[in-house]
Amino acid sequence: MTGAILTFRDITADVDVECDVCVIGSGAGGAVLAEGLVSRGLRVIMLEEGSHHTNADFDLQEGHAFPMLYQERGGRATADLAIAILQGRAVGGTTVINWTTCYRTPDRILEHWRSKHGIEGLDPQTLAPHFDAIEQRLNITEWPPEAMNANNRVLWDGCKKLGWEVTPLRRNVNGCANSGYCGLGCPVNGKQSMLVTYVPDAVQQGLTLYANTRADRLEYQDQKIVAVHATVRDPADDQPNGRKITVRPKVVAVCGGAINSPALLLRSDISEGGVGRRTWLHPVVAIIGFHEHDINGFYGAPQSVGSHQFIDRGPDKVGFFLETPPMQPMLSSLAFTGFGAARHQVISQLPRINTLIALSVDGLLPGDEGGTVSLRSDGRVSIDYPVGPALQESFRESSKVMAEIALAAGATRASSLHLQPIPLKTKQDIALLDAAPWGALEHPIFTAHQMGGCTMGVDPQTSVVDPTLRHHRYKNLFVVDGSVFPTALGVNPSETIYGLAHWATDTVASAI
Amino acid sequence: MELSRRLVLKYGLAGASVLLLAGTGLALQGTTPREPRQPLQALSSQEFSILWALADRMAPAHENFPAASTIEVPERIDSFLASVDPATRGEVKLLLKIVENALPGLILDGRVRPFSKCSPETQDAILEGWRTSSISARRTIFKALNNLVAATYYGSPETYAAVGYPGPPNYGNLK
Ligand SMILES: Cc1cc2nc3c(=O)[nH]c(=O)nc-3n(C[C@H](O)[C@H](O)[C@H](O)COP(=O)(O)OP(=O)(O)OC[C@H]3O[C@@H](n4cnc5c(N)ncnc54)[C@H](O)[C@@H]3O)c2cc1C
Ligand code: SF4
Repeated sequence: MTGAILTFRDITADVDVECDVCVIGSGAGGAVLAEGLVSRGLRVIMLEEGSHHTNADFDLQEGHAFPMLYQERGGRATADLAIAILQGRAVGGTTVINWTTCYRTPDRILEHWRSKHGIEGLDPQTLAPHFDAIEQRLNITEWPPEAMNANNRVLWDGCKKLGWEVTPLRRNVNGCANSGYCGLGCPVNGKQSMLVTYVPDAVQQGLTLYANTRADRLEYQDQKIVAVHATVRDPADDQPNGRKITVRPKVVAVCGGAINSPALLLRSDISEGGVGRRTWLHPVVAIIGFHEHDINGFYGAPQSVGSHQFIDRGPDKVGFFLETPPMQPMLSSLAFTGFGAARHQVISQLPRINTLIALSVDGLLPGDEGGTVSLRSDGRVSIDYPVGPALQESFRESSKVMAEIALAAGATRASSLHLQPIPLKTKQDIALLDAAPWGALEHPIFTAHQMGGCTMGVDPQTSVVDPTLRHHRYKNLFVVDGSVFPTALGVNPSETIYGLAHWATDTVASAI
Repeated sequence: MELSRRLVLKYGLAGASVLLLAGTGLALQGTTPREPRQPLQALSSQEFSILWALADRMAPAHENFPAASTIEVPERIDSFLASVDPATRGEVKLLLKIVENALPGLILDGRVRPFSKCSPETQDAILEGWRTSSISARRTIFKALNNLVAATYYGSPETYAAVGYPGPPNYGNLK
């Protein structure tokens, strides 16, 4: 039995329907889970608030892609606007616009979750067959170093010169044209996103997916979720178009990703265990370098090498890892400092600029509470993320390291992105960064990795789901996405989410 | 509204009330009017005119770069705002009035003219003051508007040549 993807155009009447499992969200967690459930013969309905776009819509213009494929039209941010939050919203979720870097969950993180959060049963051996299956379906393979673009080469060469660890990354691609546009939707379906893998696999086996459909609220009775109430949205303005969808499932799997999954629970008055708290962002700071030759960082696979040299800096420090972003002009302009002719002047050198990013690993230090997702009185989500001293130190030290890499790799000058950028011409200049201000609204901060907010754990007072991803109170409710991570990962999160969803499928199926 | 509550919570009553007086429309003079080249979808004609003034200083004509208004950045932002959450749209409208209004201008910058009536040099100085202000709420407001202009402007193919960006290749995938 083949299923279907229905959009706001197809949904012409209200729907009230029963099924085995209602999966909310079609991203990394939702798509893998739904495919596993339909392949077990279960009746699954998936709701996705974003639109259904294919590569025929991906014109690689940033001005079109961000409003089309990102949360809040690309404008999501913390309440003080200090941290720009890049997060996807489409059939296929964030995987449609992610940068394809794939890592298994590091052993040391699983061990931290076991020893500090009591999560037994999630060990490398248990997860291995699930990662194997995912890696095979998504063709996760190492990107050949010969194909690396010049922006990645700065990270590679700099680390090699300095004697620091750096490795080629593994990517979920098959027939990648090395375009550089992963963040805007892959034009050739080379990226093995959920849009071209698990979603169509599941539809072929009977999944019904309602796109442009937002789950607004879960209805519960006693210790069971009895209905999911959703509204169909007009993609032009994202307002309800009057059509309602009510799903009455035996089991609900919330897979809306960090920020939106906790927001859905909060809208449903399910808040116990700290829903929305312990939200992790892998906060990102950047350093740019100016070169005499072309870098053209807007072309070529955006992330193909990474360094974990500084991932563990001791028990009282925030670790960080180093990667590179795609460098199309719009995204770059949001990182570059200032306005007016001064900004024009910097961005006119874009072809000869490299950008390095450092991702700080939040949630591992004792007392690190991360950010908080809450609801505003007007219904929007609010994200508060205080940038404390430990993170400021990590921003500073990672920026020093990145400046050293850029200079070692041949940049004539590196620069911070502070309100008053600090030019760094020599290794000695790097000490200037010690005196610079670090933190919210002092320099740009980004996040592409939202995690936590419905954290798993053993104590219902301090966690939302148990170590099998089942809600502590509502026994037919599961959360299967990045929001369950008790801490950040220290690696790009998509493969961990795919693997967790694959692993959780049996438990979810057996809850029916 | 939500923004006022947040500003008060975060920045204290005194800081917030200075900023929010702007929302009550106490301009001493009118805004310099600008004519939109397509029907407005989200902004009032006054808000549009303020945005025009602001966008042309955040992204002015300079060497090979066109002025924001030359490539219809104010109109593009207007249609973008029609697609966002109504509450977010309302906040942007309020921020435009805050920037334009002379009363916070008088208190914070010592000026009596609305932003749109100031000289380009004064406008740049005002924006730089907000950008680097010691009051973080003002940096937030600057960032909100500056990001909106930058994203729209540098995301417009008309600016690619000045950036040195050849633009995306054609993979033959479009319908
Ligand atoms: C620019 C960028 C680059 C990235 N690069 C990488 C990378 O290279 N490697 C990597 O590992 N990770 C990367 N990531 C992160 C990674 O893609 C995400 O962490 C991952 O996709 C999250 O999976 P998820 O299932 O938690 O949520 P998502 O994949 O975000 O899926 C959630 C889906 O649920 C939908 N939804 C939410 N709420 C509702 C609701 N109430 N009703 C209906 N639908 C709802 C959303 O619209 C979304 O489509 C990147 C992220 C970004 C933004
Ligand atoms: S770099 Fe490869 S995977 Fe990414 S968008 Fe281009 S062709 Fe697709």
